[in-house]
Amino acid sequence: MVKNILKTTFRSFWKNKTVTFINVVGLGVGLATCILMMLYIWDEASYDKHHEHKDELYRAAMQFNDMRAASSPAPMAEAFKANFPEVVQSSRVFPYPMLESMILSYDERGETRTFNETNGYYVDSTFFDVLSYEFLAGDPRTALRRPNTIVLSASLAHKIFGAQDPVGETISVGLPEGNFDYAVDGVFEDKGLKSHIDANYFLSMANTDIGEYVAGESSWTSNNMFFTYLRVQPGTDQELLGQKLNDYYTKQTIEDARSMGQSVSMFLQPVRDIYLTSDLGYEIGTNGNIKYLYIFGSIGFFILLIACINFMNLSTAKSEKRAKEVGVRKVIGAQKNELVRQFLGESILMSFVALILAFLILLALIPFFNNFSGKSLELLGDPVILITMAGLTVLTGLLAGLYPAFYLSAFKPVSILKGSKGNGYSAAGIRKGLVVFQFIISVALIAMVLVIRNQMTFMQDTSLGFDKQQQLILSLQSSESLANFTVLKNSLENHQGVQSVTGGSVYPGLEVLQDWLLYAEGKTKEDVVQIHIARVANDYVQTLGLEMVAGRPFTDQFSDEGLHIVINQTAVKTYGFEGEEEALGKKLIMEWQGQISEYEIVGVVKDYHFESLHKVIKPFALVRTQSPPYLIAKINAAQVGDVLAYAESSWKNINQATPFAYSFLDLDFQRNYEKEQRTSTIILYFTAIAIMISCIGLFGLAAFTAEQKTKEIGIRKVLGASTWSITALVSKEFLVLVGIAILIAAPLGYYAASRWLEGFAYKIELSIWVFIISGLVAVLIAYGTISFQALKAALANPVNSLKSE
Amino acid sequence: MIHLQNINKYIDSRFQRVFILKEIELTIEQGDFVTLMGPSGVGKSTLLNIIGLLDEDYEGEYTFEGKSIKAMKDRQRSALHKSEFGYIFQAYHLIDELTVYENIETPLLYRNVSSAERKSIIAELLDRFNMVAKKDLFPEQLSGGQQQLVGVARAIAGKPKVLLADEPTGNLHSAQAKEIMEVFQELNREGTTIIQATHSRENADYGHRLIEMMDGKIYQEVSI
Repeated sequence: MVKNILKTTFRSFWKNKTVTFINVVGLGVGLATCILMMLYIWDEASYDKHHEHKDELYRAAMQFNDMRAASSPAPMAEAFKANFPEVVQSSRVFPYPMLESMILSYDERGETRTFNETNGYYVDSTFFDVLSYEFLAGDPRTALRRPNTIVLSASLAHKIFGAQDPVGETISVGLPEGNFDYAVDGVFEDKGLKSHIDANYFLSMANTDIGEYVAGESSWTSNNMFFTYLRVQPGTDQELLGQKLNDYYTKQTIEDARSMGQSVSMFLQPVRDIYLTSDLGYEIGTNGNIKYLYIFGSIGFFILLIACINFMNLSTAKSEKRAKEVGVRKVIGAQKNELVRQFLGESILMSFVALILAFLILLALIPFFNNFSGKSLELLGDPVILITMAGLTVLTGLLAGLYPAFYLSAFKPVSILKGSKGNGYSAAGIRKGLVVFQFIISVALIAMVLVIRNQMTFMQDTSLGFDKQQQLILSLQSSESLANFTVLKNSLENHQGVQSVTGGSVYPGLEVLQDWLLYAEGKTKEDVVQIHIARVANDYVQTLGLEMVAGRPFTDQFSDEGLHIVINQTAVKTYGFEGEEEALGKKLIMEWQGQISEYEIVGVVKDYHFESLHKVIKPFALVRTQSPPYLIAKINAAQVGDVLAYAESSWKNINQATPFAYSFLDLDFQRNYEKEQRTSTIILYFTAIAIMISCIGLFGLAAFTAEQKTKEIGIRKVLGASTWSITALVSKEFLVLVGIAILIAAPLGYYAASRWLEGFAYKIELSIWVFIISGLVAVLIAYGTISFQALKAALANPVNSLKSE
Repeated sequence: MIHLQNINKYIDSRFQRVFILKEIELTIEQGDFVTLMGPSGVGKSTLLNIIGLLDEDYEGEYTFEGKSIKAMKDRQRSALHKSEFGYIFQAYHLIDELTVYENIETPLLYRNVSSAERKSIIAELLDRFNMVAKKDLFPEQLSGGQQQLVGVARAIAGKPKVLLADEPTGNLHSAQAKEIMEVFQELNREGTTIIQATHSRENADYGHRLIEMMDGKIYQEVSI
């Protein structure tokens, strides 16, 4: 039986090559997209699932007024463990504040090799008892128990030590305070490791550099720079424990908070959910975004659905050909359910043929996708993936085949075999509905692409209020380079390609990690306002091309020995000064544990986007420093290469022990939009795929219509109809469908686009033109597809189509 | 064997009821060779379809071997349909994607006949109709007469008691038609009940009973 059906199936696939081609290509591309998205989502969803106690791990996060932050104060971890039996173990993670990288050096037979390494974290000795890491060398139970020990990732260990066993070797860690020796205690596997803590190495919290500071840090309200992780008893209720911990925390902080008029609280986040769902301030690394997974997942699904619709439409359109077979089979004894099974078998078989194509597409595509998304997806990595793929294929076959199967098997043999048309036309309405559905998806996607592109261009073109071009950034991470800031600055200023040099704790595009609570003179402690702070060297305003609206910036002309501050226009308004000029000479006051510091406003800088356009401009201030962690140099566009070479050679003279590293401000700023850039590219490709699949389906349907109308067209031509009017005859019914699709897609696209734009504080206005243009694009593409068939029909010689009667 | 009692079939249009079959009374015994004759649209095919259980939309009483068709469950009816009836069409209606051999095999597959038995039944049929050499050809590679022979072979493969043929020679020229009718005669001699609808008086001569129809009614019956 199966053999008999397989034969008819394959022979009818072969006979209808165009339809088979359309179906295999459509389903193949659809399956490939869907599988790719599945792999991506799978990958994104598998973060922090490897921990032995993954369901019992929490991070304590904070809320200050309306701001939420991932970090917490130093004493929290230990106090929670000591006071709550539910907390089995706790550990802190501490990134060295405002230090991007540390300089690791290793003496190999008298030769010192240095490495500029990012993503190093100080952790408590209990760390590996809370989060699980697979150790390739050393023992997680004893690692980091001794002071000044370090655990390296396998790739870092390989970079520094090659094949040699690193355990017990000594590495010197270069920090702004100087160099400190650390003994290697272990190596953890980082290949395939997915954690929201993207660590390259871990340093023991007990040490000779920051150890003393950390041990002495006992404030519950300031310096919330630690990340607190808790392992709790199995079965502990998150809400209940969170409540208890928050009560305890509130008790510790109530005094300070009340005196400042602030409201503070804490809450727990399950570690396994952090990567996908947490988007707080001061995150330890860049997290994923579940919103994008939903977007990608649903687009993948929709593309597959479009391909399934092609299958449905072509099967029902071509049903006249199959009807006879159905009639005969029924007359010679087939039951309806046997026929349903036969047709479902056919569609499942078709989707397995498509799976082969999908497989080939994926093999070719995955390296590109990995390269572009920074992932390392593997097609054949996991047998579960193969099983899921097979499952998805069967599901696709069922989805595509169910409707045609029931439609075809319902034919009444009496009417078919007598040669009447049967119920062939009743499917036409559904077919039209499905075409409309396909084009709704395509038009909405085109609109999305346009909106995203417009927003990206808007962000590129919007004046940020500073000069982002040709700003060379040198990061001064070692004590040596920090101390030599002025020497290096002077040296760079000697080069004629350098216009101006300054330094700062941040530059536009970096997250501003420092904020103070200040109140204006004449007001009280209850009126404090949070203000972001950049500690800057002289000429910061001039180098970055910022504009002063009142007063003066920090320059070499003024010593600024006292506590001077330059604030932005937003701060002027927020603190309630009458105007920019009026603010000059006024004082902003910081009161902390009885100490009072008064900062005199010497200048007001015009508002500029010190953060990306996702965020509204907040109160911001510049204060002066002598040793900023970043050197910023404005250079001439024509002399970038010269200046770089010169900068490197002066660096090597001045900072002999520190490797030279540089970046450019515009690129760093652009990194804030990487996610959108990536999304927009992915959606662009998806849209192209969706339109392509919709169009080959439309192509097939148009061919069918033209074929059906051959006789009508022949008669019309004999009667004198023009080629144009016949083309219109065939195209019209499809263009009407696309038109309906546009009307439905516009509000859907509008909704989706406005939801996406919500993520930006500064955004484009959604204009009706976006939808008009997407509609026109869809109509043009659809018309291009159909007109080929329509023209072919119109140009055919009527003699041929009429004589066959 | 087949007993039809007051069979009516009609279409209600807006102003009147159009009868396709009216007050049909017909009894057919096992081993009969019955010919339905009459002009096009007189209801011959409809009557064949009702007898063959392909059309259930009629009024009146139909009993097959003493059992009322209307009283049967769907399952029983389709089992009866499968086991007792074979069909032959004017347009042959072979499955284009299957070879001669596979076309004949298909009804046996729906009857769950074992593979060995299938082989022997088909071999016998191919031999009988001199088609052994053509068994791997596709329908479009055969002449009309040959296609209809395959149609006959397919219809009798399942060893039905009743063979229903709707204008079996309508698309054939006279020599081919003669061949088919001789096959019918031989099958009838072997015990198969045959009911055919035809325009041709010559074909009717192969049978025993000639039923002439007019406007949905049985007009007269002639024994041959």
